[in-house]
Amino acid sequence: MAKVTIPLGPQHPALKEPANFALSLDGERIIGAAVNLGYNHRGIEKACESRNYTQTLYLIERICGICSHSHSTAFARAVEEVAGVEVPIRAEWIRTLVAELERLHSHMLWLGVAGHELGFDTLFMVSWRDRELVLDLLSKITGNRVNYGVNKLGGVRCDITQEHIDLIKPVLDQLDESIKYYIELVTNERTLAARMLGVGTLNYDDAVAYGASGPVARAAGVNRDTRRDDPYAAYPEIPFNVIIDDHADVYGRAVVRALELVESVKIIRFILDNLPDGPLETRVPRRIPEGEAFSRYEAPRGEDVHYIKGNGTDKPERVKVRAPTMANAASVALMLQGSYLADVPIIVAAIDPCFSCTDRTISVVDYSSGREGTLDWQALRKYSIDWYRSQGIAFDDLSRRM
Amino acid sequence: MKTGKILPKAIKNLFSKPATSEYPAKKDAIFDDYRGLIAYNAEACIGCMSCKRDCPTGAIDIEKVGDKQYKATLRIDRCVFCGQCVESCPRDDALWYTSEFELAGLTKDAMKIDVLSDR
Amino acid sequence: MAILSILIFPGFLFLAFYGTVFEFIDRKVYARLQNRKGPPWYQPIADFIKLLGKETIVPNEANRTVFLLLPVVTVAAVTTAFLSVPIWSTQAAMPFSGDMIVVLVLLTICPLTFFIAGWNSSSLYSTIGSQRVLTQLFAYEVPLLMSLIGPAILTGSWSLSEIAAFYVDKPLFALFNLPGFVVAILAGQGKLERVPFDTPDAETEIVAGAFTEYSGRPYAFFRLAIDMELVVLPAIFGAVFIPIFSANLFVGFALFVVKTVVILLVLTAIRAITARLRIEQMVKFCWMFLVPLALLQILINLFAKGLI
Repeated sequence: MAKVTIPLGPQHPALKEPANFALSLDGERIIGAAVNLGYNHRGIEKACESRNYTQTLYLIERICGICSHSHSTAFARAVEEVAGVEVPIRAEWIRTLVAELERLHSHMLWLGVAGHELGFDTLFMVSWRDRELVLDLLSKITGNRVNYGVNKLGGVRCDITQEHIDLIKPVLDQLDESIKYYIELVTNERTLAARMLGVGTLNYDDAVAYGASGPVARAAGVNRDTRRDDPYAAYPEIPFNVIIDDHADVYGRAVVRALELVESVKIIRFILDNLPDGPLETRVPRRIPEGEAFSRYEAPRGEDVHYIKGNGTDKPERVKVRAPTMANAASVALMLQGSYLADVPIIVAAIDPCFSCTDRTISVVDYSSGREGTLDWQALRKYSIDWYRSQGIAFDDLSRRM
Repeated sequence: MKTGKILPKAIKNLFSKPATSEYPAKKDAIFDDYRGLIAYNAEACIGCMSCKRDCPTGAIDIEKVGDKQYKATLRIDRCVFCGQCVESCPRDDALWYTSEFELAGLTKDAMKIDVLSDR
Repeated sequence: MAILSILIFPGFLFLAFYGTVFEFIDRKVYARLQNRKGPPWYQPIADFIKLLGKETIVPNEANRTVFLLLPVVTVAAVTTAFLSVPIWSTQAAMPFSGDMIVVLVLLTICPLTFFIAGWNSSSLYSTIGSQRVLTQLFAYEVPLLMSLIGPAILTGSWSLSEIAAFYVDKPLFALFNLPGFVVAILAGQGKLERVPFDTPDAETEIVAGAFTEYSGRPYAFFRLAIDMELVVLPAIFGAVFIPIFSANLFVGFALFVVKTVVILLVLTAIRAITARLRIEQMVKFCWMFLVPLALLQILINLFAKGLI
């Protein structure tokens, strides 16, 4: 069969968010792949610069619907560093607790999505049913299922009371049991293994060269975890294992995530047993002094990096966010090479992509001249009006045409 | 390796109660500390505008309607239910959360409401 | 009389109704296996009516006549096939010698129309889907045919009604058909394009496969044809492999319902507990596992023939 290039996305049932993969096919085999991101640019970084730090915190929290706490903690830590504020130890531990609950529900979400991509909807339903337990917990502790709003600059907004601890503990026992079941299921179901073993391989050297992070890197044997390598919040005082696997394929990524669930439950138990007493927040001035800070955070999907530059006012001068998917997206092109078309959904899903979180900046390329640059709002608006007019659609008399 | 490893669990599911929550026919209990629609007590408000200043989306507005008399309007279509207004308020009894969450409306005007304490 | 049996019972109307009931049972049990609530009983009918009311969109590049005619051909083929399948008694509505081959050929028309439908739609996903339909057809068709040839050899007849009558006469011989039954169920799962063999319409890979461009009434009839297939295959398996019939019409019909529902439940359970295989894994599975098993079945039946 002749070589064909097919576009996968930006709209495709396997993708929960818009992204485009240009696949060169030889029959059902992929011989080349290119990843095109940028369909979901939301201008968040620019929007941050026109809001004060308190408002920005909530905007940052809404970068991602799943790892919202990751983004807001990373941002808050950077701001606190610029302001020179010491966060109370109890607040750090509560942040860590919510972070690990978030990792639990994020990994369970991934497990379900992976099952769905492989046509194994029972795994999808069962795993999402158990994920509800975690979401209910988060809702009870923080007041919302996602976008918890736990963080405030200089501390946390909600306390963990004895009542909360009594709520969480029985759920953890329940989760322990179902997690054990998932691990057994993922490693022992033949049809799942047939679809995951040897699919989307990314070896150690490539994982390092392409800068993969999080479970994708750890499944390739890269011993890298920000929680241990550059500890933040309460992690220096909490014992936990970094899960490494050497399968270097989708199976390895599934195993790493499943075992990380066990670690997360252990960490949560440790936090509940050793939660230190103390105040919940330190006051942070409204005006953040001049200075810059860089904050690293191990989000469920990989390493999340925030950069803040303050200029002495109550608004940040510059906010830069690099979501974990940005680090992993490049390696997808490599993983896709040589695999089957049928494996594309699971390979893409295996990095646990969050493209909307990733799309930060776009550059506009003029196809005819090859020039690259940026467009401001007015120019972009003019361009779109002209484009539609060239298609015979004029917005001023749109009502008449429809 | 085994095919159909999930079969015992699936059969167990077959004879257990469905996990589906039957919204809207049956509403699950909303937890007490749920961050729903805010409520406002005009008598306690001192008109400091802290909530208005910190609101990330510009949803809440406090108007002075008389001498030391204030009125709060909320645009639900803008509100992201972060609760920062309650957090910013220097008084304990002027703003608080309710567990009201079914707030959809058909027009933009319907989404702009006076926040009252009895809601 | 003939026109009645074609249009009403056991023809089109009965088959369509029974098909929607089967779709409901399939979806409900599937949902319950996943600890979900599942749809209400009228859901498949509501879906069908809703699709009837939707706009029919025909792609510009497609041949309009073929595009709209294919669903009708599929429904006609499945209905015709059902006329020769024994239901409440060993005697089908319209039996003739050699009807087994005709039934299987008519059922092969379904995937062929799916293939043409996808190819004619000329969309990328439907083209890939129809390629997979055809690839899969070559994988499951041979073991399916072989699993039914075993009983045919034993009874020395190519008619489903005569095969059923033979096994009612000598029920113990049906026990020899166990490997064939397993092959038939698994190959049938492939024919019905259900997990783990749903590669041709793998939702997360190629949208809806061959039916990606279909909408409105033509799509409603394709769905109906698939529902009907879901009845016809269990009916054939029930007639050949579970030879329990009754002379009484009502008891016979109840037995038919029980048999087909049991087979449907097995098909649903397989769907719920496996992940989708890749097309080449599916072909490998069929040729490396199902075909040898079907050959074994034929061998067993050749020996069993000596016992008659």
